[in-house]
Amino acid sequence: MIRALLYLQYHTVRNRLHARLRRLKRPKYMFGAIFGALYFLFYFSFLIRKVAGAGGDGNAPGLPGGMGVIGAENLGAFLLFLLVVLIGWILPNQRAALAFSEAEIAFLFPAPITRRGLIQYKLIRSQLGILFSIFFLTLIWGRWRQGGHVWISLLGWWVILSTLNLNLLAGSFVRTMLLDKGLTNWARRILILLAVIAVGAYAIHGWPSLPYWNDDHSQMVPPELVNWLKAGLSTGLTPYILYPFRLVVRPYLAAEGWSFLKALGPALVVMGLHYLFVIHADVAFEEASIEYSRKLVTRVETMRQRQGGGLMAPSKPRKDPFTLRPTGAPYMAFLWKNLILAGNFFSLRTWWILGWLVFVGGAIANSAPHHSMGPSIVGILCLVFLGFSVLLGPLILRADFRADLPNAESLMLYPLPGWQIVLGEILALIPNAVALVLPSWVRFDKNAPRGIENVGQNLIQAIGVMVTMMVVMLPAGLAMVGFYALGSWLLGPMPAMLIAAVAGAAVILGEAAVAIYFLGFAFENFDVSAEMTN
Amino acid sequence: MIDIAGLAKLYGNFVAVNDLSFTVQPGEVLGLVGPNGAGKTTTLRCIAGIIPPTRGSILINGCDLLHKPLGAKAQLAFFPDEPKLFDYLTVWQHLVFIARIYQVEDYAARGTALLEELELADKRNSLPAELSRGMKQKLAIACGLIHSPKAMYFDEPLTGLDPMGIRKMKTTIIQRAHDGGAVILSSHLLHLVEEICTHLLILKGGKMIAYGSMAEITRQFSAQPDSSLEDIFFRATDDAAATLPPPPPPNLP
Repeated sequence: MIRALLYLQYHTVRNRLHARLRRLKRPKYMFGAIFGALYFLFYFSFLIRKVAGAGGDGNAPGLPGGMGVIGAENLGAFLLFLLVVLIGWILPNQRAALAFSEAEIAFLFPAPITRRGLIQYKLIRSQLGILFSIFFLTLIWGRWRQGGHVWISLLGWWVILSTLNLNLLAGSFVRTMLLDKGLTNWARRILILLAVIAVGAYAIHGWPSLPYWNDDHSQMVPPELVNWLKAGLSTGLTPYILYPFRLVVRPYLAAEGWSFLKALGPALVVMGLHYLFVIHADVAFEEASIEYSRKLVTRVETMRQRQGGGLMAPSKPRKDPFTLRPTGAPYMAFLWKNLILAGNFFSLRTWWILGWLVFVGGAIANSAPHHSMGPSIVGILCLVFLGFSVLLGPLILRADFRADLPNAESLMLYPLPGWQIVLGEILALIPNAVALVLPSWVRFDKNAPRGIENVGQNLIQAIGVMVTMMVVMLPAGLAMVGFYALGSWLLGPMPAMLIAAVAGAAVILGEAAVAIYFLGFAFENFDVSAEMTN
Repeated sequence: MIDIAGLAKLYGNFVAVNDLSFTVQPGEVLGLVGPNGAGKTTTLRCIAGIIPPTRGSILINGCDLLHKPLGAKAQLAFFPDEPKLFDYLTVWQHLVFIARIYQVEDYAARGTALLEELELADKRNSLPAELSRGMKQKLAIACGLIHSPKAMYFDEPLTGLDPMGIRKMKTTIIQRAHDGGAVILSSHLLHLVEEICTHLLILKGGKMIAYGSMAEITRQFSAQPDSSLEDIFFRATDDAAATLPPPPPPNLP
């Protein structure tokens, strides 16, 4: 049976990879992939340079069992591991649930597969995520250039994460068993906390006294404190209590190949014991898994919507922003609809609060001792806000064509000229133009494929928006400069500023009108069947 | 009412629909049937103005959909197999929005009546996420009917409906035809087509295999006078299934 599950896993990965490679034939994915890869390349080469510069300080003595420690940050890593394990046993309150996809639940749960088979499949599947994580953790933890022992870091992280994965699963199984025996979540939490406090207090009792340290702000953690902690962890019973945890992190902390191999054996034994427990625990996880998977699907969908800059569909009905009469300009219906989607972003209350913030902020800044700086600060903040609104706003708020194009069939049915629909949707002109003129570059479907290509596509789109914005602003800017020069020569600087602002706005309005007309034409000739395929 | 002449839709070299001509008069219900990939949905999308045809003419109540799309679209409604709704609008807000688009002055009375008819009155303030698949289908139908269209296209209208919903839907379709509407219904459910359609158009590979009134089609393709539409369909499409024996009856106690 496990062979069939391995077959499923192998072909899932293989087909996904093939599909992603195949779609690179399309320019939008190819350019997206190139941009995305360049982005990650620059980002990580920067990261590697940065962490390589930080470096480690070699072995630190003082811990039993030959456990070398590479610097204080690894002491932190060990304590973090300990903390994660404890949290995993204390905080969760759900019954044991394994994350399966909806398809896996539909096909595997009714199939003649044992629980053990399902757990093994789940563990094998989780290895993919672990392998991906160890690459990034090794990168971030900065051991690429420390003596060429990258493989120690990779394998060390694999041992830690795999054991942690098994430990958390074991924790959820134990939790379910205790719940079945009538021990509530709070009773379990209190018992574990009491045990931790008792053991901790007993262990710390024999530690050396806490040293005094200087307020040296150049160090995030004072070295005296680190040394005290190191000494404490190797005093009395503490090292023996923490021995299993240390066994797990020891391979990662090994300084060279031989000590790694010596540390690997005991760590694998700990991992194996976890595995045996998990595999042999007879715990019902099916029902909770179904519920968990459903929540996971919702969460992923929500996350994708947020990552795509999409506005969330409300969980509760929202009030009408204004009364929409049945007759009148039809494009107002789109504005009305999009304001419902935008919800709180565009409510009167938001503007009221914003207005008060600006007013109160300005008043406070103005009444400050250096009051001459007050208006400047408010002005700078306003400029920053304006910049964000103009450049990032359209990318963040998608209550427009990009939100509605999945329903393009409905839009095409409406007896309206294209320009009216465009005008109605026009919370953001440039992204709308991209949606209509280059529809294949816009992600309409929240379930559309994602990945490095998508990161690149988003970058290209953001750059495109900025370039277009500059082009659009150029005539308006020229008009403003011209009118300001003329106005200041004739009327003085203050009236000239007003005239220049009106002239600039008029030019932008004219550009928008032309754009709406042409986008309307593009919408009328929009071929849903040809453009909406991924 | 609905006059289609020489309709064709090509995707590159692939011919999805080829040289299709037919008419649907007021009061008629035309059943559009055919195997998967026959071009039924493409045909409906073309004659609804959702996708542009490669060639051909489409008249809705005398209004040319290609040259005067607004006039033609104002008189038609298309109900896709998968209801397309706005996640963030309630049932009633959908009707308010559509009423403004189609300029339906008495939308409040019409909307209330439609919600009653489609048994959605108690869901008036619900979001689509709170509705079942069948209820969403009903809401899409309420949105489509609020402007009293003269031409109506239904693509698999019974998908996701419960037995009561199925009966209501059949009544709704027949009632609209009786009121003078021209209806085109695309479905794989041949018993539904047989029950409510007055005319039949059989498509295969984008081509029209048969077209006429139910009586004409029966005369043309049935071997026996009491042949079912299923037999006629298989005979007309020359499907291999036509040579298969009929399924055995269920084992009754």
